[in-house]
Amino acid sequence: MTVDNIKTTLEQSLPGKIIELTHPSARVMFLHVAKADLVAACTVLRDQLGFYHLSTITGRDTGDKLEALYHFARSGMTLTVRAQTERSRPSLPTIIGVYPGATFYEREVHDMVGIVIDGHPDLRPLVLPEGWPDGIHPLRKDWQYNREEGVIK
Amino acid sequence: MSETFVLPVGPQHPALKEPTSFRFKVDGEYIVDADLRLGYNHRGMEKGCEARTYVQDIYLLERVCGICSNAHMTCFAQGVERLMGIEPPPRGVFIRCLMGELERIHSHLLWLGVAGHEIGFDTFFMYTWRDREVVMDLLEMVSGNRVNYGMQTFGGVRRDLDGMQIKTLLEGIAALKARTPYYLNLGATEPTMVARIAGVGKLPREKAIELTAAGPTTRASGVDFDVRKDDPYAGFGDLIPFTIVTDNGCDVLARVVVRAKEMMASYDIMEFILRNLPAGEVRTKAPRKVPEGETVSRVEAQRGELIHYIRANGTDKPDRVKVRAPTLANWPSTLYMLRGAYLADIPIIMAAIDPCLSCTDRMAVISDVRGGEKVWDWETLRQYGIEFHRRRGIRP
Repeated sequence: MTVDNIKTTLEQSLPGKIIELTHPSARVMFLHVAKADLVAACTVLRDQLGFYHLSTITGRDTGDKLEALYHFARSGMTLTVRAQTERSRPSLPTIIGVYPGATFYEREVHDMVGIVIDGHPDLRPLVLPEGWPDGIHPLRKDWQYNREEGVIK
Repeated sequence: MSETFVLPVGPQHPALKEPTSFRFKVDGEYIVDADLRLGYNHRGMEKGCEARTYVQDIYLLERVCGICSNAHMTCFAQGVERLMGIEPPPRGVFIRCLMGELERIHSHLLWLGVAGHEIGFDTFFMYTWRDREVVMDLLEMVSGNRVNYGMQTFGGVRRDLDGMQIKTLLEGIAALKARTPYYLNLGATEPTMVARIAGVGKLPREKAIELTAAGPTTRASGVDFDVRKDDPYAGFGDLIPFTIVTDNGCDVLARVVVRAKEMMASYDIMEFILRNLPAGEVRTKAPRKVPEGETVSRVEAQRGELIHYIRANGTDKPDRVKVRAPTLANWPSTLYMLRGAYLADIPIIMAAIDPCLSCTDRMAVISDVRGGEKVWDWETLRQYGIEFHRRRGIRP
């Protein structure tokens, strides 16, 4: 399946829902959709385009917004779906209905970037330690770890 | 009467890299449910990458894992090269590929030995680890190190091969190539081994796809998913011939077979590389700053698909680096395999995905059926597994 085929299918199946679709290098594509269209986009990728594998989900702090990047793969192509959410009350819908293997990746994004995954059955911390304070997410840009200065007396 | 109780396993093992905590809900000998808690060795490397330059990051990311260090380095290097718009020269590409395959051999031989050890077949462990020394010596000769080879860099590799090294490599590979069919034969036909691994840890093809498994685990369930084929890198695809190995067994036996056959495929790849090594430089000069952009870089590490997401902001430091190692991709399917399995088969099912851990050194039965409380370590669990199957008549 060529890049043009993928583009055509996405434009037909998600009319007016594609915010941006880029192809920066061979076998790499990026698709930007609104938060409300995320699950629909994932369903199209799985059912119509043969992206059977979800590689991982990256959480990222863009400065004024938070975003999640869903990296899908099939033979000969890696396609990343980008969905953004407001910083004030960050949330994204879960995609485990389409890709059940997303469960740990969504928990990791919740831990590290603080995006609440709506509809996820189990958002207990996966990688942050027990006793980690609520509302502190290490991969946000405004979180900095400052090691205490050692003092020699 | 059926009564379940919770059996926590892990998280600590001082000697290994990735401690993980399991909680098994068991009914007698059977596992009813399994749950997982990660993060005991979270080192904040993704955050750390943002504070360092690209050159510092490549050495930091090499240390994500001691076994697949070269895979992480290759993955990051090729992603950054793509953003920089440079390509390594052909000789550099071939040596990059050679390192990846040498690392695969050492990891698969290590895994075969560990699998033998977990089922109480220690002779197998001794044999494979003796042969593993051959490939470790080759890696040391090429890179100067037995682990963390430091071979990859932006724009190629850091060391060239000379004629003497090529000759030694070919001799070493020939020796291993003669030994590996014996392991394949032993793993696939030796009755006590087969009795412990055939039909254990079943992962049907559709579940492997659904739960996004990767590497030999998914290829042993009949899915032809290999990044070397799907997203060719380091010369695969056009320069270097490669055959994908799959098996339809869906159990631990199939995973042994897939890994042993993959080693045979790797020997062919390496012999091709060494016999057809192009002349010329091994690296090109790379700029210090990386232009703004983002990319996804994938490598087939020994344990499966490794993915890095890299976002550059035009400076000498990345804006975001995301690393997903293959073990995390295989946890959901491991939990699936453990449900319904024997308690005694935990070690071999967990070892079969080749996790970046064997962390479970200490386990406590918090609510024993007999009302008491027990504390078991990994060794006790392993012995328990061997004894359990010995009573059933399997005697390695």
